[in-house]
Amino acid sequence: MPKLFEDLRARLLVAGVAPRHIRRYIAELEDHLADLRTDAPDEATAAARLGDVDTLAQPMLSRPEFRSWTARAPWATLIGGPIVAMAAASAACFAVFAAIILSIKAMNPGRAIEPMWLQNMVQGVVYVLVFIAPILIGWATAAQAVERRLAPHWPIAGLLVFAFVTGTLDIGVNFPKIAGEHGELRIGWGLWGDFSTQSSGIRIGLNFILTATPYLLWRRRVAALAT
Amino acid sequence: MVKADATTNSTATSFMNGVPELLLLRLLQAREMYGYELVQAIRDETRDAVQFGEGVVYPVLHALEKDGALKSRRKTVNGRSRVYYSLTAAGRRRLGDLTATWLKVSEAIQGVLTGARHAEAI
Repeated sequence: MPKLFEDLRARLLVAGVAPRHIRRYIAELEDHLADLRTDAPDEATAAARLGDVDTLAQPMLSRPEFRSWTARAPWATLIGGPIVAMAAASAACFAVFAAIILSIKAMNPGRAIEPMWLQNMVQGVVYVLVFIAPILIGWATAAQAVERRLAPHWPIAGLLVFAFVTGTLDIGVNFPKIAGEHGELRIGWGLWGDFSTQSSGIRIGLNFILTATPYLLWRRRVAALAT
Repeated sequence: MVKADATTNSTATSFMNGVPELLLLRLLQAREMYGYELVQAIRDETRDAVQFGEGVVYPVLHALEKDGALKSRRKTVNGRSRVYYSLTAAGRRRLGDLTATWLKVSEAIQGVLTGARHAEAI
């Protein structure tokens, strides 16, 4: 990407323009510059006709409709967004579990206990939801913040709240051990859940350290590259 | 954003706000066009009286599309893939409104400049 477009992209991101609008703008500017190069006598004339960074940035900055939700309401996207993503992932997994269990029961009406492979799979997914998903969603939040060149206070606040919410998250699945017994799917929040070897305090701390530390290092690296 | 001639200043720039939108809608009324084609058409049809920093046409096009006045599609012609814009029904209505406003304002200004009102009063 030519330096003009890199500078323009950085300027617009810092100003809060949504990345999708920036991508589209720069893609069309690249097409336009390619046309100018075929018509203009030299590169300097082509660049001058396209406009400099200030000229190209101004019309995007003057239109509030191009601003991202992260710029307009950072609390919503950086604090609410990860929590909503986690809730959606949990709900989706539970819906899939329920569908599988109901299908198995429909196909084997006489079967009282779910097969071991299903029990193992469900427990594995629950562990992924509780221990891995918070880190992945936290990294996605950090990537969003780095890409948009955000000041660190909102992303750090978001990661801290998210670490607390996911650190206290208690997801559990109990399958019936004997015929006639009911199984249980549950989701809730509490300081002491099923994962008693990992206290909520440790999980909160780990989730925060494992997401905030890469974010701060990554942010520093991007800032160093920009200068 | 727009300059009227070589003596462009900030007053002229703000005075010309809204002109690119009007010109773009008018040109797209005839047929679908891509950004570079539109800029060249504006240069030709205004005989360079209205000049853009050429890249700034895209935010105007994108905003018009967001408002529903335009629609776009990527099309490959002669091996070059470009985004073509065309007018929607809402865009035609908007063009009608803008044209009426522009004609009214320009007629009023013309009247002031030629002194028609003063002459009538005398």
